[in-house]
Amino acid sequence: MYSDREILYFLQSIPGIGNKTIRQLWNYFPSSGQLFEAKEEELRQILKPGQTTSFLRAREALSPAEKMAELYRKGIRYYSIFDWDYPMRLRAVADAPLALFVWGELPPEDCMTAAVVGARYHSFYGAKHTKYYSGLLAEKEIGVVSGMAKGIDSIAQEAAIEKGGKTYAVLGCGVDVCYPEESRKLYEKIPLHGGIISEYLPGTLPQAGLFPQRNRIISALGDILLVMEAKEKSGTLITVDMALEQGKEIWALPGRADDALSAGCNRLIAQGAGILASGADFMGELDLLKEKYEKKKGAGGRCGWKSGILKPEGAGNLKPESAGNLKAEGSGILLAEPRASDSAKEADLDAAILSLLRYTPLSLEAVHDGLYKKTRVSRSVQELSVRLLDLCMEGKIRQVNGGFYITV
Amino acid sequence: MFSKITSGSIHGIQCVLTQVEVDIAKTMPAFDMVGMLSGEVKEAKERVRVALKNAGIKLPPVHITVNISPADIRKEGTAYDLPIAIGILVSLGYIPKEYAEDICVIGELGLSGEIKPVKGVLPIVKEAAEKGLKACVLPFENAREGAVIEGIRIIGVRDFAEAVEYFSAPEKEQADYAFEKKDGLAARELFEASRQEMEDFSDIAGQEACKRAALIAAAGFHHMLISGPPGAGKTMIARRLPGILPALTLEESLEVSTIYSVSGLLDKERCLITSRPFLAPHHTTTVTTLAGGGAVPKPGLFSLCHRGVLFLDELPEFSRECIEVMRQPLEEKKIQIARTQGTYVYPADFMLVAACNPCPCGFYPDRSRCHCSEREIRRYQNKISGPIRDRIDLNVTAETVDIKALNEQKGSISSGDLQKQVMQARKKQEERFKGTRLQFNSDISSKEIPLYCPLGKDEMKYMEKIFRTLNLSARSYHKILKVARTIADVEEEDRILVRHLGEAVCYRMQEDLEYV
Repeated sequence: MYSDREILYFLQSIPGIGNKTIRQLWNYFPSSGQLFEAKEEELRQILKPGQTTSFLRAREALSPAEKMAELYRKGIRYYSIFDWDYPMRLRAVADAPLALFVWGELPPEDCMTAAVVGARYHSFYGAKHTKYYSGLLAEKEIGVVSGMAKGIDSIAQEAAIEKGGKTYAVLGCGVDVCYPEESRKLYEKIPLHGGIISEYLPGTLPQAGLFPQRNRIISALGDILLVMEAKEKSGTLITVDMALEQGKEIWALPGRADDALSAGCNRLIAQGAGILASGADFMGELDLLKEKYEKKKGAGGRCGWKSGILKPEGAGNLKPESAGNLKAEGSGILLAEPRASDSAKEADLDAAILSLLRYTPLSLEAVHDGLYKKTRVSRSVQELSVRLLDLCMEGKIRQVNGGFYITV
Repeated sequence: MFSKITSGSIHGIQCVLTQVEVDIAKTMPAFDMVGMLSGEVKEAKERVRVALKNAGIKLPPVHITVNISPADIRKEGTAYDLPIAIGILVSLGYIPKEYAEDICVIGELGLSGEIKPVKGVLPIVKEAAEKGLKACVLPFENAREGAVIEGIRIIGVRDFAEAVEYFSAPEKEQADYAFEKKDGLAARELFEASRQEMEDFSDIAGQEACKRAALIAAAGFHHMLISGPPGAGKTMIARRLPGILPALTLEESLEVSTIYSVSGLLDKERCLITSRPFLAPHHTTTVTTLAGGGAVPKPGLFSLCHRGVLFLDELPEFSRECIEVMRQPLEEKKIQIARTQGTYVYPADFMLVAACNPCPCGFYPDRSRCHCSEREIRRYQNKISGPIRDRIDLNVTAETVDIKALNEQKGSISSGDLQKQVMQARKKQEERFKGTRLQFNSDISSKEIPLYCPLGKDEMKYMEKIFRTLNLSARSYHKILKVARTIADVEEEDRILVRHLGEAVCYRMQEDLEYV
């Protein structure tokens, strides 16, 4: 006799048999034992001829126990819906996955988690704030759940690891497939700082149809959802819809009214989502939320990796006062104090440059023209380039991709 | 009887004076030609025989042997028809031997006896003049081109009869046949007379950073990359660059004209290239077009824009081979083509101005418009390979100018003013590099950097700080110093100052794409 989970994995690993069919089979037979032992005629009641042949052939080959052992040898853990350690967060979901394949670990039940999602094609602005908020979450020992996609997802997970936090990536392919290929470094780091999770069989290649499906797991595994940057119509908003269905709290990063990449977030805020306008405020909220979620799960003080031996190095780098800085910069006030040694003219120019630069990178040419439009004074390229470089060195602005400048 | 006529052969762009030796023996009638001749030279035999007949000269039944020496150089082209025909007449005694001495003869014969133009006249006449020959007989249509060279008499002939008439005249009278100089101009006059009007930088509104970079590029002959979205005016900037480079000197002009002459591209009326070449091949071009080549090698575009500007728009769209083949000319300022019959070397000292979009769609890093994935952007930018990137000193971004700014911003600097600054910088470089192989700041090798680009204490500190903060490589360090040297030259400073370094840093090439 085999256990339910072994038989479930056995069924999942048969090519041509999907979750829907498995559910049908499960409902048709009184017990999993009978399902496994079923005769061909019985199987034909539910399965198509091709599926029946695959079923029989698979039953001839390896036993479910052997198959399971093979999976564990690869270092992949298997959590079926029949197991006690299947995540509680997922059990509540209407279309809960039958099983999860995990490389690394699942987010602990008694630890708060937050899903951080956003556009694949993001802006410097989105990247900066994602790093910042993801860092805050890690600081508060809140696991960051995301999809390891290009853009915001990867940045969030990278930042969490950097700050010594935990992060969980839910993939739309097998856990042993790195997609996108650019994220390989991150992909290899995550299992050491959390886990890679998928409901698909190892070896499943990424398919467009699988990705919206995994979004429901991302939203379900996160106790709250942070939306960093999203267009009016985007995949990110699918995750938001699912999170709303699951009754999660949504937080969104506000943007400028005319910024296409922020349109989705601004709309969410208009509809009542929490606003990520200040790091300090969010930190305050996080404390309350943490209490709420961790109490709900009855964990008390047990939670958190910081308290135990798991405390990673580098945690606690993020000082609360940095939140204050962010606020000041974000509001676009010219805070560049004139340096005593420099002439007033230079300071004026610096201030003008700082007020001009945003998160959209500007080239030397664009800075020149922008300053002219703003101040009606034409400055020489020589003068400007030297000032820009000085500001870079002072750490007030940054030069990226050759000739482009942004605020830090 | 035996005779010898001087003619010329082109090898690469060099001219080798050759001797067409004709021997006539009264044995079995035959016409033999030797001396490492290509197909078209061997065919001369038929053209010469018929042309002689049609000119009313009856060949007796004799054994004619033609040898073109030196016999170890491959002879190509149709310019040997006329010297062979004249040689035969001398050997037969129609023309006195001494009348044909010290005269260089080139020209292609038609069957009717007419004389057709040939390629590469300029280098042949130049070589003949240098070797001290007294005259050069060449096709009438090439006479203007030949007349550019001073110190040699040019005789342009329309048909074979005219040529025979010239050679039959006693030496004293031969002078009367000389090509009238008033029809064509000597190099110096022609050179002064035909300065071309160029497009002017004052036509461009805005683009101050690009103009500044163009000035620096021109002053130090630095290769330059302009990136920017479509329609930003990258091509406009590049087109105006030859206009701010110092005018060609007479020697340079002859050098460039020689390349054009060999390629048969010299204008018949204005037989001298007097302004810097500007070539902008399309990105579908082939390696052979760029580098030169073919079974009978011809100079490619790299050589045709020698001493000028090669503009490659949409650089990443060029084929990998086309980009890679630029390595040699960028490094050695010449291009070598190897063929079984020998190696041909063409000069290729040009200024590379390349333009590219920042990504396939052209709008990166403006993420509200650009949808290219990181991989696409990387692939696009990586098409400009490292070795080529290394040789580009200046990188500047052009921006789309909005129409309002276009109307408002006035007082744009003109090409004339820019050229003045370039000339000043050039003068400083000339003084600095006197007696060395170097010409421009861009030629300074990394070994010579401490010698030519010394830094003061403050400047050294400044550079160190930049290095630490910006995390630069040694390679960009050298490039920055070279560019800073040129900026200092433009501003007529003897020492490289902090502000020169600061500006130079802003024009550096990106080393790695920071994708955020």
